[in-house]
Amino acid sequence: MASIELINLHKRYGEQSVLNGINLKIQDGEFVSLVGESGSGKSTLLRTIAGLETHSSGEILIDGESAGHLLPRERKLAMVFQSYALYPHLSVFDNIAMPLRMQCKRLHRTPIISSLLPSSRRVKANIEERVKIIAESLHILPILHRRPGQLSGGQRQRVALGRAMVRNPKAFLMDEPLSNLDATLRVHMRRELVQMHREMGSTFVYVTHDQAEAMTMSDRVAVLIDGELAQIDTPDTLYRVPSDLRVAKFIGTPKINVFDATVQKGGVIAFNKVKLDRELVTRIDHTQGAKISLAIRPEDASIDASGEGHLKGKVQHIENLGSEALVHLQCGQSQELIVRCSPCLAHSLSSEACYSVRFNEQQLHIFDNNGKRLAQQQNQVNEGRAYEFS
Amino acid sequence: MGRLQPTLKRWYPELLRHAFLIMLAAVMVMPFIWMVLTSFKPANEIFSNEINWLPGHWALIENYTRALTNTSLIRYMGNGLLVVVAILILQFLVSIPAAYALAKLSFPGRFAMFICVLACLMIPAQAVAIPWYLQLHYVGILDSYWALILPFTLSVFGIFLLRQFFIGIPDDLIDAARMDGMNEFRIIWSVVVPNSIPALISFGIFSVIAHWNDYFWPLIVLNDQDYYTPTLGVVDFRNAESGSDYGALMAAATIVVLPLLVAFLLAQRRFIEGISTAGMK
Amino acid sequence: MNFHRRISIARYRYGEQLWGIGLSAPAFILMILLMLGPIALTMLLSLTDWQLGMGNFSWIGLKNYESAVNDPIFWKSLFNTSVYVAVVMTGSIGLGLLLALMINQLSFGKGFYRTLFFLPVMASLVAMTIVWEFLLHPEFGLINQLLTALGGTPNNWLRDEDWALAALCVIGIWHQAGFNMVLFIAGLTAIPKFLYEAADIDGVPPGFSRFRHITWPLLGPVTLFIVVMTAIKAFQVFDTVQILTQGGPSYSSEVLLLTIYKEGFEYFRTGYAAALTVVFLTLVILVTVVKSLFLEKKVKYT
Repeated sequence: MASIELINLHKRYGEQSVLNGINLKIQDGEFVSLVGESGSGKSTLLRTIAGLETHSSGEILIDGESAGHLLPRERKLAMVFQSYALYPHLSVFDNIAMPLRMQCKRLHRTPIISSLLPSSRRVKANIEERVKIIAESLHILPILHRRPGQLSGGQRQRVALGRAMVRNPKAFLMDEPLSNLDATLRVHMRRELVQMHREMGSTFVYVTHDQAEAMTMSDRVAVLIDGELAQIDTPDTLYRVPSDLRVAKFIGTPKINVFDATVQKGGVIAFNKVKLDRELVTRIDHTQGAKISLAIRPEDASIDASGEGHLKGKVQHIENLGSEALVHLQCGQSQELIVRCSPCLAHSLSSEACYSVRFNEQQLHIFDNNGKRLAQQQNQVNEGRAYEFS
Repeated sequence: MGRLQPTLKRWYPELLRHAFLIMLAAVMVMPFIWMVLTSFKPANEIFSNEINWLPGHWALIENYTRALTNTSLIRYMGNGLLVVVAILILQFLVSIPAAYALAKLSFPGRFAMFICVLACLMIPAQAVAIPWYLQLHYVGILDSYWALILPFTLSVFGIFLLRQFFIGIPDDLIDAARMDGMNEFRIIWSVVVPNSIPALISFGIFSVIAHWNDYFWPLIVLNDQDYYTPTLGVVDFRNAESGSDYGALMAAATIVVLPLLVAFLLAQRRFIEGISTAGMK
Repeated sequence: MNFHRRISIARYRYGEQLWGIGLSAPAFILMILLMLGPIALTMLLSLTDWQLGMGNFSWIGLKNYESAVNDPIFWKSLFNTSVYVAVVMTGSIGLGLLLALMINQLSFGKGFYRTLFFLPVMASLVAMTIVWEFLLHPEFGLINQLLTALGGTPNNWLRDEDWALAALCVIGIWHQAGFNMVLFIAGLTAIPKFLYEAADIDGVPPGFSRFRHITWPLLGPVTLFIVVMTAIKAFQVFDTVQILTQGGPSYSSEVLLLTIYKEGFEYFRTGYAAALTVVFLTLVILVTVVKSLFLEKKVKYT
């Protein structure tokens, strides 16, 4: 098992920059997810770590040693693809055995000569044993002789995992391995993968576009936006202390509510003609009148019966999920707001009616013009990690 | 086209079609039938003024024996087999890697090479016959197996066909193979080829038919009868006989046509599928 | 170690490119050697008066082409070839289409007929040409015998100035129709059935209307391919002519490739033959390009 470290990694396709100065350190045995929108570069990053794509500059260290110049097979990593990429013309057994066969000495690999060599029988037996052990742990022993075309999605997934596991790699790289499964199977496989991680103690690097999946499975989650690493943190910290507005918007379902606001004299925040009790601690340029963004999670907003909230909105739509309800409100011309509340309260609301909404000002996230997080009031700073602002 | 039990009226068009088709088919297939029948007949029945459909007296054995002994037909067939197989193997060795590179790898000159392939597709073999002849002449290998085989080692059609097919192989599969530790050679041999069998067979069929039936090139290049291909052999026989021993001549023609015909009848589906898919692309 | 490392880096960075070049190099070299180079050589030769076996030669510019233009045999050859191409194209494509349409509508026996009609395509043309020679035999050939039996007059077809080319055309159509039929069938089966069902609902009468409005347009791409292929193959006619008539009688069946063959490999007038080859090649490429452009416009339907 090994740690993976990326130092200032860049990847360019001609003029276009796909990966922009990625700095990432994954500890030995950690489960790290790479999340982002399509086109954010997460798959490219994974493939670059694997060696399937070349990087333009920067370093890749595996277990502290420079690996950036090594071919995929030399990096001793294993990859599970979204489409599983199983060899269609080989049986499950041969699929799993393939990496082992490739590791044999050259002579053993040639078709006819290998059957003449004396040691080849021992080699074959070894391989067979290894494959059977792995197959048993994945519960695919009974289907060893079948071809991928005859297997179900879940079975194919296990075979792909088996092929990765059999190599005893330094780390497992997974490129959206669960995307092709149906919802129930996906949830089931998530649990299995997490369990496998715990049992094996290996390093997992997991790419997904489903932030919920990443949040539930990982030790840490790395959010990629437009080829840059926006933030890497534990799921909890990522949720509660997002360092970038885009990260705040990406993580969390339903999406966080975002508002524009201005800074007034003395660091006081004015929003919607209301001055908030919160004040900005950090100085920013053009203090007076500077534009900032406020963000609040749906569960930190509530319908205010007294009518004395921060904002008024007209109810557009109520989603009753059974255990909770989401109220969609329209405030002003273009501003939308989602509030979480209990189903009984939601029941009492009427559509198209106006209600007052109150925020929990302690949970308000403040971002500057460029989307970077601004320090909050004293009692908030102690949680999470400290950030740097550019 | 869900039809219910057809009534007599509905039968009519179908019946007409079959009738028409059978008549046309008879005309189409007549040369084959006549060829075989004639090879069974003795000379007196061939050279008569009446139409004898079936042989009255079976001269099968005599005709075929003469066909096989008066010319070295067996040897010619052997030559044909050797040449066709050698060409096919060499074509595979050249075309498969090139098609793979064009389909899956990025390298400088890739586009230019593809344009070259398209350009060469338009060049019929006869247009370059003269330079080929000169090249072989000056190397001194005219009148040999090499002369028959070498010019055809490059099959631009093959490269094109295989490239189109290889593009359909998932990139992920090749990446997985790279992760498993295969180099590009191994990938071609162990991953790409086993998954391209239909395309390879289609191409093989095209190649074998084209070169077994080739007349123009062997005619130009061969003088020594020992190297004659089946096509040259049967024409040579015709020239030697010049209109007397039709029985044996038809027997010789039957022998030459038989291998491909049998192969075709056994594997018709493959043949026709191969051509259809190639055409649709 | 540093050197080792450098090699590693180079291999990593340029590996794919090197493999790509390496794997396609043999094919590329052969393309130059066997295709592109020879074409250039042919064009160069056409500008000389060289004859095989001669020690020296001189550059005579376009004189070879002049001689061709002034040569009545060349024009006859060109004319015959064009006639042959036109007739065989019409015949084999028309017949192929007709057969495909009929076979496609059968409820059983499709494979059977397909096989039968395809037989002429892959049987050795040379061997079958010899059979055809016998069939066309003035006295004992089946065709004349049948003709006599039906009350017509027999003829020495291959030795008859008026009929030699026609006989060759018939053999050409016989040889190619099956191939076109197979391709048309493939094209027809690719037309989704629901289009015909929609036509039923829309009230398009079956038969010619349906053919004109649905079948024919959707056969566009396949037809284009067939037309180009048939044209090119027809231009390349050689085997049948060389074996049966040698271009006679009186050049009534002389075709372009035969002329090239005679000039190049019987008279060894290499320079002149090269010039004729250039003409031949130009025609073939022209046909491909023109037909593609012309029909491409018509095919841009869907």
